[in-house]
Amino acid sequence: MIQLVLKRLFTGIITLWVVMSATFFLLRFLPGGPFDAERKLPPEIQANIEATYHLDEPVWVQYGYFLGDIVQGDLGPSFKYRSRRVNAIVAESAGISILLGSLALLIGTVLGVLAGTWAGVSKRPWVDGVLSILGLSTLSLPSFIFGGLLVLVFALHLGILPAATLQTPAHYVLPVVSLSLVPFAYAFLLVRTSVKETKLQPFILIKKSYGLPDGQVTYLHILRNSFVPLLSILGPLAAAIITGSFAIEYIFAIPGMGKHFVTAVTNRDYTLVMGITVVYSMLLIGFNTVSDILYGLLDPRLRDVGENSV
Amino acid sequence: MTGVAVIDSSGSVQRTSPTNWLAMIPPKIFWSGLFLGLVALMALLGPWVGPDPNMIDPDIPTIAPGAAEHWFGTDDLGRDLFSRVAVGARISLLIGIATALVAVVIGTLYGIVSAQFEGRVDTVMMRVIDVIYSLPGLMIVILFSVFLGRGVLSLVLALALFSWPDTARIIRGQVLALKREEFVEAVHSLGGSSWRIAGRHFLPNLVGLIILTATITVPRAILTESTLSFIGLGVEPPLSSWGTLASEGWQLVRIAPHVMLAPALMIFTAMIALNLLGDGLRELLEPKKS
Repeated sequence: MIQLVLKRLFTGIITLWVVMSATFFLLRFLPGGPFDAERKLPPEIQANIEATYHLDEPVWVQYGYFLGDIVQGDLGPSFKYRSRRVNAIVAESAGISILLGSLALLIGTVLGVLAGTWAGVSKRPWVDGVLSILGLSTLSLPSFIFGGLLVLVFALHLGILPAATLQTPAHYVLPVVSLSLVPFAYAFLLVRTSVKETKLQPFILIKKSYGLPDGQVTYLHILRNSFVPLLSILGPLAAAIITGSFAIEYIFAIPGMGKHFVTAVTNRDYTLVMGITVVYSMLLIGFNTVSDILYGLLDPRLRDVGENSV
Repeated sequence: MTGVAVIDSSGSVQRTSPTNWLAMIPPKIFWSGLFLGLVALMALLGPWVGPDPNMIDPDIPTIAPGAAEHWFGTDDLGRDLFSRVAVGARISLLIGIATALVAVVIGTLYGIVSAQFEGRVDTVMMRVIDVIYSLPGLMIVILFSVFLGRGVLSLVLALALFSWPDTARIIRGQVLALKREEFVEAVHSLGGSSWRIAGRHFLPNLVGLIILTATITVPRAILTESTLSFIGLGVEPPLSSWGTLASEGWQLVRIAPHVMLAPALMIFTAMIALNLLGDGLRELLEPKKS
């Protein structure tokens, strides 16, 4: 078990290093520096600025500085907002994005599991039919369109919820609901399939023949069996939420990491782009590592998967 | 029924209607295919059927949909939305299909090579895919498309870079299964090399799966492209896709929501049709699971 944890942690750190290096070199080889776009600076000042940020040195030296700083947890100064550190910007915006993301993940997954179970066990064909159409529609609806529709209906038309920014708890409703669309669709489709398969397994028939009430069989035995595959998609789900947050934070004018990333890319704010990439990758890799380990804990058969899987 | 159904000597029912082949297409594939065909037709002919998509007419800003001259209404500059959505369909579909093509070629080759070697090489190649899966996709697509320079081609490459691992995984699994088939052993014993088997015997066996993975890749690419264009990091003017149209519409959402709703509806329905098509093809290829 400890071996599994260590192995996953090692893989995680290697992945993180690959991502950081790839991003670093991609950004360094971009045409044009961060200070080119503004009005022409006198050559001495330009040289001074470049020296301050080590931009005048070879790429490999810059890479060394960068790795050294990162190991110490320092993401460097922002190129655009000169007086601010990337750490400060990330610290300020990460909280908002993580809060929104976890709320959406929680709500979407719980609703998806409930709907999926219902569709899977229901003996009425229309329940499965209606819920499946719902599942297909949620899968086909981009989050930004869903978010836009929600604003249109609940904020502009009915006027019962605020349309943008985050001030009161009511402001959280629309962005969180928009973001929870993808986890809902994934969880729904997965649980529906796995409940349908599980309910035909011999051990379920035995439980039923014992005379256990339907509810107990469904919620104790069928559903428990469906949680393992659910765990395996938590990583992709977290990635999908990050993807969704770019558009959702844009729509709702939320100063989260997604919005900062988009602005930073447009501004060529290399250090800020790097910082956000590192933080998002860390979150995602951490999430994947934890769900891998939990997966191993729940299903002993899968502990050594990887080396000899076919 | 009695008119077209004939009971032959063995007692089984045979339909002898001349449209037999049409009835054999599963309904999911038929309806989604029909709809996608119409969208493609709209992309090809729309700008000629409707008014000029770039004609600015300040006298008719934000006409509501349903007008005789402007089916989808007009935007704030009086441009016809139907024509603009038709032109946008070109870029959206082009990016979706091109991405799928590139991704499927890379993924198929990668999957076959990985399965052919098995062992250590295979493990390493699959680890690379694991690493790609654990990255924040959209973020890397943004970085790459900025790095490659903004444009349709670089968008396609950036999207394909993130789409091929799915194909690679599916193809690898199938090749591993095919390698254990008896006919492969037969070719081997006749002296055929493994790479000859891969080219001559595996590829034809993989055609169905390759088409399926391509069908799954198209809607994902269209979705990602439209999200990117919506936040202003995708296709740049003068080109426009459904995503950029939705983005322009979003700016007008308070005055004229239909400017956003028209492209949004196109994205949504096209996504449903593409997902249904993929579903139908999957059921056709894996009859056991349906």
